[in-house]
Amino acid sequence: MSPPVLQIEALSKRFGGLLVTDDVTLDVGAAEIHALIGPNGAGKSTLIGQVMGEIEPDSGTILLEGQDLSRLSQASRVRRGLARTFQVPEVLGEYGARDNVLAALLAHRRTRPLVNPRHDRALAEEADGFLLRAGLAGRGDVRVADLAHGERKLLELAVALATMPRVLLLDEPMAGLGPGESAQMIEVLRSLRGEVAMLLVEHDMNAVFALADRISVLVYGRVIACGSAEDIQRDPVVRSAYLGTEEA
Amino acid sequence: MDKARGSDPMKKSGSPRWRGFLPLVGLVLLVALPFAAQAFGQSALTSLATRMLILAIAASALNIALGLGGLVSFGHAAFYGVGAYAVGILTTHGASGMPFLGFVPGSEHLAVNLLVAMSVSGIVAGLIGALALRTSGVPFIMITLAFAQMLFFFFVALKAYGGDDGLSMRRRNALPGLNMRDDVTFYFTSLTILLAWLGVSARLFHSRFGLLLGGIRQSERRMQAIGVPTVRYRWLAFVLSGVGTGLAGGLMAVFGRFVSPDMMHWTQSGELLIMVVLGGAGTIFGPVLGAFALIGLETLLAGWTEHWQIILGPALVLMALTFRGGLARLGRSEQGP
Repeated sequence: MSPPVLQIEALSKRFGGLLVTDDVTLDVGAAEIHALIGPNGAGKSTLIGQVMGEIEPDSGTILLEGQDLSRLSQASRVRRGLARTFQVPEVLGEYGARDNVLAALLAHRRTRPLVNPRHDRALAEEADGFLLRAGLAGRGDVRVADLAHGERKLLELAVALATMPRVLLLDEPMAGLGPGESAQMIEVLRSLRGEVAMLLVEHDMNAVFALADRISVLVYGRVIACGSAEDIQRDPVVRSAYLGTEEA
Repeated sequence: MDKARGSDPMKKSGSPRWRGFLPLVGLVLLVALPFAAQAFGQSALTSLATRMLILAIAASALNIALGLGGLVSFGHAAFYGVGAYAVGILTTHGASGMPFLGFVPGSEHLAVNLLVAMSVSGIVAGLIGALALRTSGVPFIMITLAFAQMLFFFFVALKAYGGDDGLSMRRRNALPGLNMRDDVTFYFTSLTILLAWLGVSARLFHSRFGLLLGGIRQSERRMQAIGVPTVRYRWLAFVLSGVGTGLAGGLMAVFGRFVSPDMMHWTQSGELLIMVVLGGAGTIFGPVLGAFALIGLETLLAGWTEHWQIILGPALVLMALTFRGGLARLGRSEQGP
């Protein structure tokens, strides 16, 4: 297997009396989709927050391409190749879809100071390219407040891709999607396979089994199992802790 | 129907074409105003309009923080007053020939003094912003208010420069080749400075910085996730906003040949906020309209009854309810029901 691009080592985080991340060690290969599943409150979103630098861990290290990120700000982590999406889409509602992508393109780019970036044709085409990849072709001018929930989820993906990430941290991309939208999201994510590594936090087991190369199971902040889809489905610990109770 | 205008270049969403000419009409009216005032023997109108122009600069500057950055500053009168005092103190020393603090030479040159006013206000905004921007929402409002009140009481206590009586200047600052004592000349100087400021402001709104700052207003979390150092951006917006407000304060000091702590009173901060919201936060011309509307209304009502504030309050509430999104957004189809 390819060497891991993202390595999380012995990560721990405590909120008061609650150990939300308990000695988590996990890695994502360069072209891998690594799914992270677990019941609600297992600490999945908190883990993404710590990798991005939004939440400071109590101990442990996070390496991106072998480089320690611990002391870096969120902005420098993004510059080095991390991007995330949110469970509830965080998008810029007053802007059009294209301007949302434009913001991501501009975040790390110098422009000529007196030129309106909204009038830059090359930039707009670049932004439209990301919309196209996310399945939002032709929706660039629509105000985000007028987009459907599923489209906002896809837009988040386009925005994340526009930062040119090495690793995408996806926080429940299927959440709230209808069956048709889920199928579209799975298709889009599948088309990105090999291009960008993904840590996929997801409840939708169809999506997980359709996409994941490896699956880790997080329960009460602890990784209790890690392996292929068959390994996980067969694992007795997982069955009792998670799959068993939920599918009973 | 929404679908129909989906991806078409209908982005400017149905604003009628004539709206584009409104700024031009406004400019023509502003240029004609002092001549019309003279023709009708109402030259006091020119002074009133000059005050409106200067406050329009302040409101437009506040709009960078409030309208674009979403920073509800209740302390912008501090920068207004600091700019005014910078000019007042320099002018006093310029007139007496004694250097400020023993080594800073005074000045009665308008351009020099306004540049100093902008710099000093920018520095003060930088310091206040560095502390206040650690918070957001209501705490931010309260902290900016608190800093402005501190400066207010500092200048009340500053007896060397008039204390709460304020500081009078013997004559207006000069610009070579222009007779600043003439109210019409001063009016056009103020108008030119307002136009220049609006030009800078429009550039800013439509720049990379403006686009990202507007994004931070809508979702700070999203902007952090695409790698924007949001605190630095908001700080810069706050400083630029302070610079423009200081410019307005300095100009007002020259115009009235007078500075007093009242310029930093919290009610002044409130008035600036009202101008921006009334005119249209986040628009280029809104704050200008707001300044003209508020000062005009105040003057009108004050000439009619001494209890004018009883009428002004409800009138503002009514206007806020009628012109949702501000005067500048009237006639735009996307706005309102």
